[in-house]
Amino acid sequence: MKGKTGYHLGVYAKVNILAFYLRPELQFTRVSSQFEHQSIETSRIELPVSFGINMLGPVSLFFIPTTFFNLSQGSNELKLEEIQNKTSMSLHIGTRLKLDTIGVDLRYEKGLTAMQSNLLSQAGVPVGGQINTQPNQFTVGVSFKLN
Amino acid sequence: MRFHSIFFLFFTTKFSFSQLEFGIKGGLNFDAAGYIIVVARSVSKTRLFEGQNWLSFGRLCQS
Repeated sequence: MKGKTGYHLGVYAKVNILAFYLRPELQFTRVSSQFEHQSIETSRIELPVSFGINMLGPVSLFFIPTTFFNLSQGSNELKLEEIQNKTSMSLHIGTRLKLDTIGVDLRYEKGLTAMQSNLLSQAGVPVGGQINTQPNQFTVGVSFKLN
Repeated sequence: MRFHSIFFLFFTTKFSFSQLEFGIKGGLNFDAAGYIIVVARSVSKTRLFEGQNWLSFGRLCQS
């Protein structure tokens, strides 16, 4: 299995509370996984709510419990049934660098629950089985403050 | 008393909004595959192969 690159786009709000901050985000994420030369595309809506601690100057640390809602999962050759558990949880931990209106963050995400979907066929051959996918990834994000 | 309530509401609202920022964000996900595990896979199809009935049944656990 090889990992591939995905992307995310969204909006955020941030409330500063002394040395801490709360930052709810709403984002669309599309990730691609490669399994047995097959590409499995997954789309989901994520709702991370990060709790951050301002450290030295523009640097902060944060951790995020994230709820995400799976929209679709598909592949060219593999025919998959709809994901059984639409809503899943993951945990992000990361660091953020804030320079005026631009913020750059690096985070690691680990899924807390697996997403299960039944395998229906491969290359037109009916097969039975189950695929479990669980996020385990690094993300780099750039945010732009609007107000 | 009523004045204090209005003042408190005004103050907290103004304080909250002055601390609020919002924006847009985007980025890349690396090694986005995560774990893909085929918990079980069975191919059950009878095929006619060189005049023989051919039944394949397998089970695989792979990460």
